[in-house]
Amino acid sequence: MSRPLSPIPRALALAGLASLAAAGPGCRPAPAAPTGPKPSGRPAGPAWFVERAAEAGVDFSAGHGGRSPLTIREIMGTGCALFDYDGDSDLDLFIAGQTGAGGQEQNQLYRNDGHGQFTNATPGSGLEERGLHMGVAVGDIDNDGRPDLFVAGYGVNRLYRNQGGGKFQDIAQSAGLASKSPTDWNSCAAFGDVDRDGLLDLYLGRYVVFTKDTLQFCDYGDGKKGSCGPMFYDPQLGSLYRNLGGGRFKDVTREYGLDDGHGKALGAVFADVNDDGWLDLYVGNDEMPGDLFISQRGRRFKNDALRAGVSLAGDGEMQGAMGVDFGDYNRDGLLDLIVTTYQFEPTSLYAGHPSGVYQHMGVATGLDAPTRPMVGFGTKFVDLNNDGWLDVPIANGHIHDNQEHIDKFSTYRQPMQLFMNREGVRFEERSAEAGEGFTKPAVGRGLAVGDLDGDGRQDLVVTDVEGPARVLMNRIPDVGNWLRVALRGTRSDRHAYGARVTVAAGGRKWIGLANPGGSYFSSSDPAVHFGLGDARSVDSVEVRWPSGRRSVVKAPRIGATLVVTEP
Amino acid sequence: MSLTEAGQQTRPRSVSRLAIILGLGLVAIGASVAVRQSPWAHERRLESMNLEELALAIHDHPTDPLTLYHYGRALLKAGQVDASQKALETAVKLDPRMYRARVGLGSVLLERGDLRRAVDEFQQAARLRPQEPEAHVGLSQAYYRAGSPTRAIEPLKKVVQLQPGSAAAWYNLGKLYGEAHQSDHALEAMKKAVALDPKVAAYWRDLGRLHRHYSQNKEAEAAYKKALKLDDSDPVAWYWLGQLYVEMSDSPEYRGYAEQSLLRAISRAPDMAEAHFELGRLYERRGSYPLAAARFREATRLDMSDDKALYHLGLALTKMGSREEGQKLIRGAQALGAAKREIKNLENRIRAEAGNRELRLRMARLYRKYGNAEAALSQYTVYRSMGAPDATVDKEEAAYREELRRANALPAQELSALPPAPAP
Repeated sequence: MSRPLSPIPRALALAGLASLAAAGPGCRPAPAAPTGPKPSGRPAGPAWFVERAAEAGVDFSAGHGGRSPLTIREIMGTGCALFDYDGDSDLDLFIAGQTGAGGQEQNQLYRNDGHGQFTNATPGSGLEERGLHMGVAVGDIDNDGRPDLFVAGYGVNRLYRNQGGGKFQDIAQSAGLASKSPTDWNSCAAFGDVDRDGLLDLYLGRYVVFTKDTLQFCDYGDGKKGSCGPMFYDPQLGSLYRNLGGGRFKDVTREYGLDDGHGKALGAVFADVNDDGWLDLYVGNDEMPGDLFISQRGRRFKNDALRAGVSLAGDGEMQGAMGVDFGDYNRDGLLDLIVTTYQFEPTSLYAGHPSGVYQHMGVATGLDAPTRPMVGFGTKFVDLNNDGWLDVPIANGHIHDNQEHIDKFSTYRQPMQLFMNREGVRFEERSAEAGEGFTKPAVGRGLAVGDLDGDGRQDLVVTDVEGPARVLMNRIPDVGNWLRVALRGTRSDRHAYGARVTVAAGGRKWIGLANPGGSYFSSSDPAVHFGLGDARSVDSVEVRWPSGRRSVVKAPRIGATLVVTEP
Repeated sequence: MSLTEAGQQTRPRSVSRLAIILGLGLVAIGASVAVRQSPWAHERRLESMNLEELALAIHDHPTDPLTLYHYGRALLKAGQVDASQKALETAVKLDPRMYRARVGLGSVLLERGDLRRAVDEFQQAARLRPQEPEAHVGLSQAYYRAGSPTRAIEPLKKVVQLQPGSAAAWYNLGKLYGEAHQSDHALEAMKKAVALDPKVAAYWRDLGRLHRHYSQNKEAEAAYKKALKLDDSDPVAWYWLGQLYVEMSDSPEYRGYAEQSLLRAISRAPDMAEAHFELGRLYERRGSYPLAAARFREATRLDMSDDKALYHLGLALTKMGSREEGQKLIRGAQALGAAKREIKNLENRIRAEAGNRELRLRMARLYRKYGNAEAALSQYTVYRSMGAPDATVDKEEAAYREELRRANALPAQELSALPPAPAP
């Protein structure tokens, strides 16, 4: 999560005091944070997003009671998940809570009435267990049609099996997914069927070795203490667990070659990046090279991140990777990757290229400069105005609760950012139009997307380390047409994670992935949402299922959810 | 009577006049002698002497600390560091309260890299005359060279208190803040330096760098341009301006600016690997892979330890179709980058946890892994000095020394520390 100022070129080091010798950063791991762009004045017209957590009945709020400084463990925040736990076809909300070690908020489950109004369904659900939870992944591990929840945390993992009737049971222990030790820092998680046996496997990312015996705070000059960056800790490596069926998982990390990662993972997302029908995995690591594990036909993975050019930032430096996601932002049929990063590191946008070597597109698309001052976390490729192009919202927030004292030009709370895609060429920052829900600073972390009120517009849920979660209802006017494709696997896993959906309309094509994972510690709607712009009809919807089967639906009705069942 | 009286009156008058003249003469002579023998005159004489004359003066006055101080200073100027140190040490011994001798000795020790003793001398000098800036400057330099820019800040803050109108002092303070990653303070200090002396190009250039850090691109651009207006021969300013343009926009206009600036940097400093790398990135981004590869190749030739350039060269070659060579270079860059990262991270951790003995042991092993025997043995020594004897580590170290000895790879100072080989 940090990088110092670029050094003076070696050959030309200045004579004089400050260039007498190369010096390390001492205990100040981070460069002072740049000034965040000031939210510009609200433009005329209604805000594009309305924050209505309180009105919607979502009362989750995190915080540390003003205690300062906070350690690295306390500032990571938690994720959230949008999923239909009760099978009533709307998206309910789960937010991971943290109790102990300073956290005061337990896990919360909110039931959606279908119109974006929520009721707290936590009591009696079995989700109330205490723990320093962080990452959330949703997947139907037993294909019973009821999505289950995996929650990763510091010294704790939960596999909440959805028993129906709003009841969950933690079976992590019997499933072989319990935390290996009380100090294991389980961070992010993602479900995907890596061996195409129809059962969802689990990748669990881990962060760093942090215990009471490791360094707690770093010195930021003038006696100012704050949380240390990840470079002050040893990495912990992630694991791949194969689903054996019957609610049991087996650690297959080594035999699948996933021990060839770098550790310090904060973001993980499955996608078939080379379109060979097998799920690959990208892991965003914090100030370590990123890992792109390419599936060797479901039997092994090979870490190809360096060769593919997605291991490092555009300038060849390491980056503090947090949130990750795949999507085809330029509609060239190739999957692109976005990685949010620490301050002074621009959000990395890697565009897929036929050579297999991704192109760094941050500067070219305009994402580079506005994201540099921010510490970016949750993000997703999502078409927010249904114009047919994937946009990018980012939840920002610093990692030092006392950042204002460490660097007077920077803040702990930071505004969210909204980048609207201009036909796959540029991203235009439109945070001001997005409204107060975006511009009011927060310590943003988890971010999940889905249509909460069934109006065809993708809404957002964002968690805050120091305040209430935000439910941002999308009110963008004059949006384009849309189609939501919900998949029902029969040979593949129930929600067909990793399926590739191609929509064709009047000579235009869109590719979408059944990809609820990614972002930061969060899980989004598993159905595939397509903005169609001005297309009034769709010629066909083609699904390539994880099992390898294909199905085509001709001329489906748009402006609705199309349910496609695997043949 | 009157005559007599007059004569009597006349005699004393002439006597007193003579006495006055004599007295004045004596006073003048005395004053002259006093002046000639004053420390001021002594100083003036010593200052005007060359090294040979000073050597004679030392011969005549071997215990005069002032002469020894000047002699030591002249020796240092002549590059005779050992002799200079000896003279200054004697001066300090003879007059421990002599501020200048302590500052001089501190400077010699700094020059020699004996940072611990240099710090000690500068500290003592600062205690003798806290209002004089030199000792604080020296102390700051010594801390900086000892790898602690954060500690180097405090003495330099004293200097700017003593000399608030010194642009150079503010500039150096700004640089130190920057090194210590306290960029907000750095920016303020650099702004003061520029306000006090707007004619120094380097101040503008480094101010631009700080603006850049805070994503204040327009301010950064203006500052770099100002620096280049004052001194357009500065390759660093051209390089930073080019780097700024590379990151500001991908429009053809900015690409052009970036290319021009970087080419100017290279024309002024052809061996600036960073500028070649940045130019390579620019070409890579616009899809000109052969041009990019040429620049990355040049950057790696100039700096073999540059894993970034090696990595991008590998990527460019892969895109050009030279997959095998590209892959090889990427693998090399990966290994190089991993080594650098491991070492840098552990160094940072050692700075943050200076009392953590285990980190020293890990560092020793890491240096060993990457073949830096001297650094590895040094870390073993530090580990040993930090706690109770550790038989396992002692054994490990002994085995390593033996391994090095067999491979004839023991560092020079280690060899000299070995007992002489027995006579055949």
